[in-house]
Amino acid sequence: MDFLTPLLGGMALLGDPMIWLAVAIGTVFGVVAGAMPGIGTTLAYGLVLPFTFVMPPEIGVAFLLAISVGVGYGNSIPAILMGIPGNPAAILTVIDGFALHKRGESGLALGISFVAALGGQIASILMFVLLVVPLMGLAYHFSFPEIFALYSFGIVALISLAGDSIVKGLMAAVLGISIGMVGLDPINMVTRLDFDLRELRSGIDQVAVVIGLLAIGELFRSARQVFLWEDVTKDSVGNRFPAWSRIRPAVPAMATGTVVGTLVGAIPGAGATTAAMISYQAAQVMSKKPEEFGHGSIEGIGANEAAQNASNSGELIPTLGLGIPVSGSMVLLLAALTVQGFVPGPLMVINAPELLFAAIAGLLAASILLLATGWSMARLMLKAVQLNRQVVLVLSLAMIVIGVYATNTRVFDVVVAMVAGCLGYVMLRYGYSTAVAALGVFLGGEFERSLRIGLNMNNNSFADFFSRPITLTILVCAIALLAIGMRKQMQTRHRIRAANESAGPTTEQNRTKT
Amino acid sequence: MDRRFDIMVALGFVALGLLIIWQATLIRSGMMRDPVGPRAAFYLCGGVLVAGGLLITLRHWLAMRAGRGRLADMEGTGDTEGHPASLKRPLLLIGCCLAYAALFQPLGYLLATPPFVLAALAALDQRRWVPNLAIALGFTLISYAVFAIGLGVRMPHGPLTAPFRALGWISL
Repeated sequence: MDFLTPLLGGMALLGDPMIWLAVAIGTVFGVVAGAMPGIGTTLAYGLVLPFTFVMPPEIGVAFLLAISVGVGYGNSIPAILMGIPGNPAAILTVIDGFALHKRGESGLALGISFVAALGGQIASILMFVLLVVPLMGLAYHFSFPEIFALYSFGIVALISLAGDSIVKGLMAAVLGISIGMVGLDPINMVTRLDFDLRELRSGIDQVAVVIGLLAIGELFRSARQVFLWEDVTKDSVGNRFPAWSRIRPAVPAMATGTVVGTLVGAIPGAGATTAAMISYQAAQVMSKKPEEFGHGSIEGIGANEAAQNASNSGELIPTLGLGIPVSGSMVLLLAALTVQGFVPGPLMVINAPELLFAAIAGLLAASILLLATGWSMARLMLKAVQLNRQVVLVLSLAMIVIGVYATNTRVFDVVVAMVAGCLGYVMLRYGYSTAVAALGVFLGGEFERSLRIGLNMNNNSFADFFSRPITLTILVCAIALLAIGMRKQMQTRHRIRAANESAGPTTEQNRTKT
Repeated sequence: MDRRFDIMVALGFVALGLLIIWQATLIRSGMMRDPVGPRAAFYLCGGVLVAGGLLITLRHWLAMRAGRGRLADMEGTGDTEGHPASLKRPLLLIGCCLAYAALFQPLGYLLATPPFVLAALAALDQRRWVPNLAIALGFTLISYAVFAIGLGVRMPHGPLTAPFRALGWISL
């Protein structure tokens, strides 16, 4: 496949009115979800996942990716106008955007955010295509040992980069893998860990567990506090779109954010927040006015917003190119495709290139729709923040329950999702990454299967299995990444300890607050 | 973060690891032989959970013995600042959810959902009963229309099965 084929395929899909309808609904839903603090892409995916099961796969993919684009733009609105970050990635937008808003320059902040979000999104689609096509070419060299190595790399990378504690990350991963392996043994077909329950003989439903861990766990955590979003501040937007001459100085920062966002987004566990942080720092280093960062810098907003949106395309590179989902939302995207009968892995998109075309169509169409309607939506989205937070939480929960039930029409899956939600709540509170656990659930079965079938294919010899060049290279990279993660964690520990020692008694108060 | 709670969670993972190892010993070997076998992966996963849980427990225990106090830096997701948090609410909500899951089949979707929404809203300190009832009924009817009628999902109807069948609204 050459570089033009996916682009042309994506554009050809734009001729289908159903794609436009799905993307329009997805984009509006994404903007509304993004505008509601605490509802990020993963939770938004969790809410609508059941609807994708009845859609043709390409429309489902376009629909979900349109939601990502909408969330990326929507979360900047409360960040700028109310100082509330819709999700962690928008924290830096709050710093500069809210400062501009308080100076009476809401229009400038929203305008920069609008241009950066769309520019970053559209430019990153091209980068996505440029990077995913060579990755797909590699897939022909992948057999069971290489797939095992690849899954090991994905899980190790997520453990090393996503959380504060490697031990807790590892525990989350093996918990997920254990859940993923319940059911029939891939070689002998004997049942394993089924606790004599008929429902568990063919395994635990992955979608129910993943939604429970990622979405229900987060809703339970949010239920700890009762407040209204609109209580924080009650300002309104009354400014016009800024002139191009005011936006132009932020363009280099937006370009930096786009490149950083796409590349960092492709790294497992990094995601939009890390992409936004790195591009913000890079833009500050390159800026002629670094002193403005943190006090209403348009370059800061531009870099941050472009990076967040570009990371949507970046996350798709390993997800579609190699079949390794790099974030919670990508796990859900692949879960949706699994329900449709696709097998995640390096050959998935080669066997079904329409998924790649649909991804491009979804990102492109959502960007075009936002270009046409995004500015006027900003004003409307202020109403979303006025919704009752508690009602949104409860109805989201009810929606997820009906969605999980609808997947297989089994009440048992609802119970599984609830139990996984309780587990997810505890894990979220105590630093065990639910994204890593979800990835483990999703890859666990294939992980073991590729090891054991791979060994069978290599004369049951571990030496033959692990000495294959690509397998060895990927596993060495995984070990190196684990070492980097452990070093990073030790450095962070030393820094925190040094800070605590120098801070003295006040530290105890800070700890109590957390 | 209170070290004692983190220890309790870690010990919970130790117990889970031991359960996995115990259950793995009950797996039959099967006819086919391979160097890994059907139990090894579970032994490894259970072992990591046990070892990791014990390591976290030991680390906190040593820190408390060294006089660093019961409080440690937060490793998980914290609460939004400026609003009081309570464990009671998520526990009540979890209770509502488990009761909902238990009643979903015997009562059916239409009869189980409104009480669940009302109880969950009450658990989150929303006690304006009339709007809450309107939200509960509105959500139940709209979601039923979307899933059961629009998407053709076979929802449980509980005691309403016979009257709905008599009316010809459901065929099975």
